[in-house]
Amino acid sequence: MRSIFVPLSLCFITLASLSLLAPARAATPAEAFISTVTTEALNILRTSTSAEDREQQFGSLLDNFTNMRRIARFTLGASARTISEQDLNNFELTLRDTLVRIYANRLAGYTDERIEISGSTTKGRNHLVTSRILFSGDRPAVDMVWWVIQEKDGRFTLFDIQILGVWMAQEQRDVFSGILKSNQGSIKSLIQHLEKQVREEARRANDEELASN
Amino acid sequence: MFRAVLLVILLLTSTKPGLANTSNHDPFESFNRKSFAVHQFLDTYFARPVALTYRTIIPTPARTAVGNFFNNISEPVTMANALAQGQWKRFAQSSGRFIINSTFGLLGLIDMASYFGIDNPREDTDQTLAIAGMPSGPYLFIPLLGPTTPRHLIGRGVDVVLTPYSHFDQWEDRDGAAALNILHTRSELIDPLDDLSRTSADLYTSFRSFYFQNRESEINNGEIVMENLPDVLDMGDE
Repeated sequence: MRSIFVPLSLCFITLASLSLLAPARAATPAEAFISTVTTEALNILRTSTSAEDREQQFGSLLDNFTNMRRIARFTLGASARTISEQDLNNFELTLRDTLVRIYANRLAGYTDERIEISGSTTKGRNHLVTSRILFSGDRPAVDMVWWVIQEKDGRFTLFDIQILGVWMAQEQRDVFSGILKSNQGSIKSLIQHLEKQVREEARRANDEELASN
Repeated sequence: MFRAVLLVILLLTSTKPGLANTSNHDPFESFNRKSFAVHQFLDTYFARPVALTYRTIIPTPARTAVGNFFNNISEPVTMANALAQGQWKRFAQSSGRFIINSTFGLLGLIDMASYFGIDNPREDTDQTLAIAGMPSGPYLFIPLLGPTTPRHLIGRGVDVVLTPYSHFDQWEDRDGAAALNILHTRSELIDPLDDLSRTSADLYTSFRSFYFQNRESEINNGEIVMENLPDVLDMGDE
């Protein structure tokens, strides 16, 4: 037994020493950007005092770290090319409010999670940052990919998130396309649909807050 | 007769999913939406309450063991399909997992392979058929089965044959195991599906989008080819 134990121990010590000596991989600018975004998002979830406060802070986060015009145009699909500037502006504002309301409340319970960034790939101004969400309970870890775009002025913005192989903006685009199709392409109907969703979410969040107090 | 069968097969397999717009792969949308409504009714008043009861009364360690057991017993599906696709590393990982978990893991109740750091790749016959070049066919929504395509239905049929518990002698054991697997899977999806129901502007379309995107990702083993991403740069450059 001793003859096996000694070489195994030596191997283990050698591997452990090598891993200690290996220099830590420096984060790329896109990875550092995602690290900042996730840290700020978790801080909001941990420190916000009410649903309203959480939504307000999430709104600022979205304004600072995304290019909402690009997300609005992408999720509108072909309709983005045919609608007026005024309609596009209205849609962009409504989409922002919808995302803030939905994600601020949807993520409210996720305060003890950790996100480990594992690497990134780059092609031109597009960057994909890979990460893993580690949950506090017994839920298995989930892989997540962040699509980051470097704007012309050099700053980074978050464009989309992929979870379990599903791009969220692509899913929104599919949903909006269906709503537009069933309303003869009316952007006003889509905006009304989203506004109704925001009102329902606000009512639900309010009910939940009242129930928890 | 042969020509009629060929025509049906061609009709069922004539569309290929991509990510441009999933509604293009849903020529039977009107019918599918009705099926979806039936599914939602059955799920709301039967499947979800039963799954919720299961999750409430069965302690977490026991549910984890159930999940591990069904993951392990379906390893032959991954092994066979990894082999068919020539994915040797995945075949080795899946075989290793099956051997370790079936022995040290007490018939799969404990996921020892993950403790040893062995990845958990999943391969199925739909993926193999996709890699072989078979188009998916149109989107179908079947009550209680959920979103699928003709190719996926064929794949699921083969996967059932490859799953060991479908060969149990007694039908009670066979159907009991299948029912427990479905119940466990539904219980795992309670929170994500509740979230989706609450936040989606059109749940039917969200299901379809999730289905096609997730399948595409599974077929590509999660690999994202940057060249295939939509060109969105101009959309935000003012």
